[in-house]
Amino acid sequence: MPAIAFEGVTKVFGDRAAREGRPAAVRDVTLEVEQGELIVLLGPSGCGKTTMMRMVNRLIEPTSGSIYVDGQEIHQVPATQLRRHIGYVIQQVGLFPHMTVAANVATVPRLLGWDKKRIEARVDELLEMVALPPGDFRKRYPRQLSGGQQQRVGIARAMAADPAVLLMDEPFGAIDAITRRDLQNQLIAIQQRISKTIIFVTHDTEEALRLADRIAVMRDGQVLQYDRPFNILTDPANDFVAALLNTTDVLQILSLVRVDTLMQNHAPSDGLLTIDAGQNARTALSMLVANGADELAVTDHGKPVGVITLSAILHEAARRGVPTEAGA
Amino acid sequence: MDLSYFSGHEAEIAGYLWEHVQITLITLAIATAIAVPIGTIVARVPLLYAPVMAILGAIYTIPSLALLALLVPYFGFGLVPAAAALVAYAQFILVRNVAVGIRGVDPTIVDAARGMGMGSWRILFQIEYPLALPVILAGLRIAAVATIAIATVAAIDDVPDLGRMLFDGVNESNPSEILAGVIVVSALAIVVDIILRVVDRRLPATRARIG
Repeated sequence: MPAIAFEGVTKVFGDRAAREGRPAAVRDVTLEVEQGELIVLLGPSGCGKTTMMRMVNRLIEPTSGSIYVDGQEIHQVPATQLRRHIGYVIQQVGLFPHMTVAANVATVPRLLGWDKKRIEARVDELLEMVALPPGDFRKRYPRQLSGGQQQRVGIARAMAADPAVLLMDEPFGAIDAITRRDLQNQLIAIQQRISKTIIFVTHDTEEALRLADRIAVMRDGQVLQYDRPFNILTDPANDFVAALLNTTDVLQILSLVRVDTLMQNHAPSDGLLTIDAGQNARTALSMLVANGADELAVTDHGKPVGVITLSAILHEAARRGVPTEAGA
Repeated sequence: MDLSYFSGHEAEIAGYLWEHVQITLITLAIATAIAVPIGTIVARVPLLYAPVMAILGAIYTIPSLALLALLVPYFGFGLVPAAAALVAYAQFILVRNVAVGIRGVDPTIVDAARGMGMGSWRILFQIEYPLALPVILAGLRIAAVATIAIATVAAIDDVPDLGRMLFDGVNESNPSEILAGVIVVSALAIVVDIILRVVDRRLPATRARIG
């Protein structure tokens, strides 16, 4: 059973009369997200990606079609109850400025009626998770935090009641490039540990390639292609997707990059496929994909010298060849 | 300056002052209780904002002496008609500030609250009112000072507040009593203003803004 399923979902804004002849924001989308998967809705402004995401927790009601979370149609429970079990992170963070960091993080547990002790313990655990030492941060107010720290609190708050599903709407969009990288890495680390089902909205192609298990490329309310990042890069469904991800360039560029320049210098674990340090990254990528592996052992004259990972290659591809801002 | 009226009239002035404080507090309490729901509704229904503010603005422009005199045939003399008139005056400022305060709450904060599963009432009481409170309190400060000033006129309604000193002073050509009345009224307005300023600084929402 998919964690989230869209079935023929359409959204046209406006009341019944206004909908007449107006283009749909989301047009007949059917799409499934597996348990523990991070999917990115990628596309230019106005493509319907945020609308798609906001229909999952009913901040926007679909005009037609059904959405299922954990097999249950989302209208079978009251909206407030549904939302308490779905984490929600937005670009503007939306922390409550008149409440401390601890009170902000405790929002959903309080709504769910947890007792005080359990809430306190959970708040500390979450602040640890997002690398904000609780002793230092619990009692601070949002204005006393940097933008990056605020979004960490935003993420902790969204995960407070341990929801299986997380919705993230351009969560790192307003954050400087270096901090954004940090937060992305942190999200990847958290995701590896607790593996939520995440719908992540962005117009940043590099971010999509770094984070996504699968990417849904959207335009004009439709999903043009929904696939693993590598498959989209190597086999774009049409010219729009190719242009958005700059795919031809990417593969050309990767064929010019030596494996050892992207390698991590720690000893590879046993049983990995090996590739010579002098090979190019495109070859490494093909090997990874052909074998469904996440990393390869890099060898120099037959001796293991390091590890090259799928995300390192995709990241390099994104950095070198792909425009960071799609659309616009 | 002739401050001679103060000596020998301490008890009398204290009585007027107490009466003045009472009518001010009663007025502000009732006025706030009415203005908060009205302000909340007009903040939610933008179509209502302009007509409601036009009506309250019209009331606000009626000279206070005239309004009190107009109410006498219907309500007679006393605290009730006087307070009713003062409450009507305060509505313009209070309703406006309640509505502006609520509308001024960052919509992304409300969106985050909804997205986490807070219901509308909870959002109103736990998010919107607390964040609007500095603006509402600013309105209350203006309304308080205005009420203290206009309440002097209520003395014609037989309310024995500080206005009595002004009317008596005029009737008896006693500038010393008028001066004493003016000083006490002004002092009361200033003290109330300072108290509300201190309250404002302690609000979490104010501290969230200015640190």
